[in-house]
Amino acid sequence: MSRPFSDPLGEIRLPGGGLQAPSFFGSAGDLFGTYHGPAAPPRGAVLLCPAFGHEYVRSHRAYRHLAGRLARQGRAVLRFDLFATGDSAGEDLEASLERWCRDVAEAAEALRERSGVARPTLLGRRLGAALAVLHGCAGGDVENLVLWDPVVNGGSYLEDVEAAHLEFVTSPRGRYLGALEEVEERMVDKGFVERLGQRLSPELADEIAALDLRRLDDAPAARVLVLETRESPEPAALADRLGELGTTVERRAVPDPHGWTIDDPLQQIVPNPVLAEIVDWIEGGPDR
Amino acid sequence: MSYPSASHWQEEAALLGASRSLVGLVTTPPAGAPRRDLGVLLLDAGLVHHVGPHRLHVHLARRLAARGFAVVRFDFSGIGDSPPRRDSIPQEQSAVVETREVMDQMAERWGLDRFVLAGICSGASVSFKVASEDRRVAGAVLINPRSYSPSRELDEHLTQRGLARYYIATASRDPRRWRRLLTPAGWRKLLSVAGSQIRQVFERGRLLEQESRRVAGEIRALNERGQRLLFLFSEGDAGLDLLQLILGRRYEELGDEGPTRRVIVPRSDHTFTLDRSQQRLHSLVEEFLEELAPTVLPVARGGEDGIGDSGEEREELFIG
Repeated sequence: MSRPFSDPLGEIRLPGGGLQAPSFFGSAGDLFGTYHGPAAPPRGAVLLCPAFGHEYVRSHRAYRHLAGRLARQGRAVLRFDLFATGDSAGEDLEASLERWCRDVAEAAEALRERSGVARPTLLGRRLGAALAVLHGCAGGDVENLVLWDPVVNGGSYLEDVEAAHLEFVTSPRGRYLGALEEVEERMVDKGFVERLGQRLSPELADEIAALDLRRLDDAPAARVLVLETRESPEPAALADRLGELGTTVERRAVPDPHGWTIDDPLQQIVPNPVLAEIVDWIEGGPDR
Repeated sequence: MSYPSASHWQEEAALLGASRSLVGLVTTPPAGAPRRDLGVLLLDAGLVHHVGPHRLHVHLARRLAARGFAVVRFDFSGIGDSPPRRDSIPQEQSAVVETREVMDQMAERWGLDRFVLAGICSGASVSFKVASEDRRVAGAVLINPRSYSPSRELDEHLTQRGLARYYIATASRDPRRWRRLLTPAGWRKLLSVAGSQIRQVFERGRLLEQESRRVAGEIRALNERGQRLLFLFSEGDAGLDLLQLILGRRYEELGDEGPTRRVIVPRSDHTFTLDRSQQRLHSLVEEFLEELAPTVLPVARGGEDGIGDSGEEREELFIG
């Protein structure tokens, strides 16, 4: 029996009539999420699938703002933490892609139950976008997908994250961490790698490395927005593949040079032009 | 690395503060497990929400709950999951008010009357301010504080000072780092640091003298009231310079004992990014807390939240 997205604590009533309710939910009650309800009965629902590692932390404020915008437009929204990330149960090294796929399915179900909307839109940033696609391909009954700088090839993603980690270690911020070689050696000794504060098990790294959305066999949704804020050939390859599978794909580019800066880890950037583009696209959908 | 499993702690979401609009997580020992008579609050670091940088607050909360502490991590209004306030109190004041409100709630729910506040960077600054205003704060863990009052000018001064030292002592000797300076961005940064150093010759005295006198007095007052402070710094953090300037000769006398302590975690950065520095941070916080609340209280008869009864000590806690 799945723990529904109920709120025994009450809800935060927001100016304008919307509400916000944090809660644990899911079959084991071990996933943490926040439901954003609109002032009137919802005319659609959006599930926000989280990014991973430092990208998760950096996306949090943007996701909260996006949820607020969508709720003010009349949509029910659920944002949540994957198992072994954020406030959800589980330790870093217990994370697995397989488990995360189940988490997305449980979150979608919880959003359906709470909002009464049968077919939610799924949105994901980076690795969260890949999870949204996998959910759609697994028969998740998804009509709209928003893929924000999607991770298309897991191997390239791991290389990017490694490069960002090494950049940090050799930057002024990492000046007291010791020689790069020494930092790397210690990771090998521990049996896991760490990337910008995120511990990554070899099993999870293998699962991510095997991820390649250019080889999809099934269309994940009828309508997809691929949103690109930086130069990369991968979203185009994904869009081509989705098109071949019969999906209506739209690509939009909104440059966001500050998106993943690692200069100050305690700051959070809300990319308002990106959020506006997302809301605009969702508003133009069949459930507008 | 060793973290307690879910059988050693329990967690629930909570709406906190007088307005019940601050989103938080309450982590406690599991039902029936012994507890300690000290509550712990983990405060937001900058704009990072209550999970903390690199999930540090989540790991710490669960470790501490496994050792008998009730721990709350929550978001100040306008940060993380908590919506903005509806009044116009400045953030540096509302953070203090909200922390005290959460302590009230923990006192009401568990009968606690002693608390420890812990925070990184701005979270440390808020912890210090609350400790100065509220005697229920038995101790504060101040991790890399860079200010003790909202002074952007002083924070900028310390950041530039740290960077100047980096360019002179480290980057100039390491070809890989040195090459980074040969880019337009590198030059801009270097010029900015140089300009700042020149300005400091004129402004440093005034800024630091005012701040030093005030903060040194507050630290003395806190210690006289029996409140303890653990200053915890990553190696080379700009906040170390500030504390040194504030305390003067007394800084050199600080060690890892006494009412005000200073511990430096070697080979770490401002947010404790690497696993080994996170582990060290967790151990230091645990030691400090266990010294403040050494007694493990048995479960009260007929209740799960039975803090407050004295009794025989039981050691059934998770040891990680």
